[in-house]
Amino acid sequence: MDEDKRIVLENLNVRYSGMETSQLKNININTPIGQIIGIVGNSHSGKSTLCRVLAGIIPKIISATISGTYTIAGRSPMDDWTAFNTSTGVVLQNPAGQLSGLADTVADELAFDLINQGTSADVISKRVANVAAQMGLTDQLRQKPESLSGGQMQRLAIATAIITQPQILIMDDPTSEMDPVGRQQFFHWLTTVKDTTVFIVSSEIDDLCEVADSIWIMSEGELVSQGSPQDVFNHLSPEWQIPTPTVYQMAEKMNWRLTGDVFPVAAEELKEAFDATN
Amino acid sequence: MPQIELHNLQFAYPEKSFNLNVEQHLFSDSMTAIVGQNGAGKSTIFKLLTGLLKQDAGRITIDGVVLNDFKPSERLKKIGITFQNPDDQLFNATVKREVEWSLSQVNSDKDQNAARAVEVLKKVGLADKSDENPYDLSLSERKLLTIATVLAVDPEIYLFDEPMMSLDWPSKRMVTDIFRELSATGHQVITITHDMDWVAEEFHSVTVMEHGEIKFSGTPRDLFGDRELLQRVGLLPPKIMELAEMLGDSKTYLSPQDYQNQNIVQ
Amino acid sequence: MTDQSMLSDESAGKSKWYNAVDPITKLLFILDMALLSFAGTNLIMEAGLITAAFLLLVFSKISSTTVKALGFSLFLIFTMLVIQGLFYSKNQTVLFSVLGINFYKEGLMYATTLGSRVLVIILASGFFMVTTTISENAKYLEQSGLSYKTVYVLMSVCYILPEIMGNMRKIQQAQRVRGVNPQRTILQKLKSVLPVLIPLVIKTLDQSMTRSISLQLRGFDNPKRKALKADTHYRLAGMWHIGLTMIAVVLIGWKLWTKINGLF
Repeated sequence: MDEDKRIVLENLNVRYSGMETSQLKNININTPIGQIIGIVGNSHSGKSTLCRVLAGIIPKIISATISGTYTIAGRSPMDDWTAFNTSTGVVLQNPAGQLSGLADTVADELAFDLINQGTSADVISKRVANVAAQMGLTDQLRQKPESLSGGQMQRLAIATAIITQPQILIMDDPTSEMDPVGRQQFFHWLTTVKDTTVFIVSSEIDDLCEVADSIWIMSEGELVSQGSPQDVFNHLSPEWQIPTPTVYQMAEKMNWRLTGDVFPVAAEELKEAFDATN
Repeated sequence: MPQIELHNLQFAYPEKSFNLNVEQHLFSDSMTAIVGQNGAGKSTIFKLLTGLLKQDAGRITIDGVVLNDFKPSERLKKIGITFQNPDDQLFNATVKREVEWSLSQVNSDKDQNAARAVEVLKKVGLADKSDENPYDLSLSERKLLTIATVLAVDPEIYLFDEPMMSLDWPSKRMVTDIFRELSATGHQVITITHDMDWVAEEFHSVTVMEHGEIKFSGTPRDLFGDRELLQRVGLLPPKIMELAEMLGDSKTYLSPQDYQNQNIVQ
Repeated sequence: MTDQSMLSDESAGKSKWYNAVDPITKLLFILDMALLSFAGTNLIMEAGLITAAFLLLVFSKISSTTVKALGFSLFLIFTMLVIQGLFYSKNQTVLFSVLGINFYKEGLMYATTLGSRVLVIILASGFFMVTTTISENAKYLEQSGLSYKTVYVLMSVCYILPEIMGNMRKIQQAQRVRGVNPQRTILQKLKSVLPVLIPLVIKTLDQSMTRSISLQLRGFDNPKRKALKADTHYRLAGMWHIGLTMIAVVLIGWKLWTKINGLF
């Protein structure tokens, strides 16, 4: 297929300076853009490093020994950093660290990214209102960013990432501080995102299985599994120490199988397997 | 096991429209989860229990003794806490010293403290990181380190604010095991959490807060069986119930295992 | 979504008189006040300056931090009074005695003058600090033609102190919960603060690094960046700048003139 429509990582190795072992080992991916990709792994599996590479933070901002290639939709952070950076939106693990610190209000914080791109004032105010509504921050627009709760802060971080309408969205555990209803609303919002490639690191396996087109499992710096949620969670290795989704556990206990002798991982599939058995 | 009693407890933050108001409440189970939406007052209760905040009225007693009457060192042996954000709690240069600092507050014997620190770090899987700077650990490991600092002192009552948040799966299992052990050895564990699957599976007792008040106290089965209450206080049932409901079954289930037990006739 | 903020909406307040004064005018005002207080030699004039600066502060806004900072400076000035009253090298005339200890007029006068000058500067700077925000200064500087990158570097210097203080507060809170030190006296506070200074600095640097990464990702050095017109309207900024600068020049000139004359 066309290079412009794919995410390609070839023999990617990354080692931070001063470290003895590589954080990413020989990562190979060739997959279409426009998907929601869930990245799953434990501490030190390399998932946060992978996010940094995908966002171009490595090697453009943090230096590291890097070999292999990375292009997404034909672009690489190494070729034209400003253009690449403009096409991505990034949510870091620590939402408070993402704030500019130079904004008096949530609205100013949101406008920051657009001002940087030289957007006109009336477009800015429209987009700020729109994104705040999507993330449920309309009532907070005039508040100081520091006064937000953890969950609100994460939604603000997401809002600053999506306000520039990036084609690539990279989010490192964006719901960790949200309450269950907030998290549910976030994952529902994620299904409404169009024409965007989304990389999301999360430990919410149940939710990932509902929204992700593809799951990547990381373990000790290697990409040990990739494919559809159903495929990946039906072939877990105990070594990776990754749990199965609740749907899978329920179906396994009840022996509800789909055709092809696999267990369902998402609600729709569960219904199908249930109907086939009962 | 220690008993914590709240009596006519009232607290208001200056400049915030929030009031905590608990007429009468007894924490007497070995493992209690406090649940509720953000801003319901869960963390405020913890701050009052550890003396970080002072109530405007009412009193807190532990086994009949008023909390404020404890000397600081006695209080540390009674109640230990971990915060939601480990970065708010860690301030030493190495992992080992972080644990030893907590120990030094209750025991002046350095050798004993060093030995105890090694033991506790092993328990949370951080033994090989004891000389590292806490800021070089992953978020999950920093969280485990805060748990280690409390385990080291071994208080009678453990308060955990969102202990599972940002933990990876092996760590979650480890922490669950630690909780079970604590609860089996006469300690009282009180945990604030948003993780309803975990509450349903592991806890004997759950307390629901909303707008600064305690709205429910009882077993997870009673809580999750009361859909009207869940709706009112903005909580979701465990995932397994959501799935069962989709299949046209509105009974109360606490885990996939529970579902199997109730639906497969032996 | 469901999170409820427990904070009231503070920043939506109406525009106050001091918002119409631009940051540079305020900075020049500090300079002039300092020069005036150093030029003056009599205490009545110092009292006048203190009153003027104090009134400005009272009519702008007073926060608990301002009160604390003022309390702390007054405490320092008081110790200075005691020390100079007792030990100033030119001490001759006994003004009064407490428990057989003599306080001297010369030392007390000297310390009062010095203390007044410090107080004038503190009050004037206090006015600047409580009436402008970091973001206002940043916007103003950017509009005055500095590149945003330069503004950011300048502002992060201003930012580091509140950041360290915020981190310190968290650490002290953690120490209160995890420890037995009640931290009531200054000595107890020092004892708890000293060992954590290095981790504190590391933590703050770590945060600055995260912020810098995130700002780069958010494109703050994008050449296309176009600052928005600020919605605050400063009144008579140009006139203030010229006037205050002229006062400063006159004061410095006069001081130099008297110094040079004094040499002959």
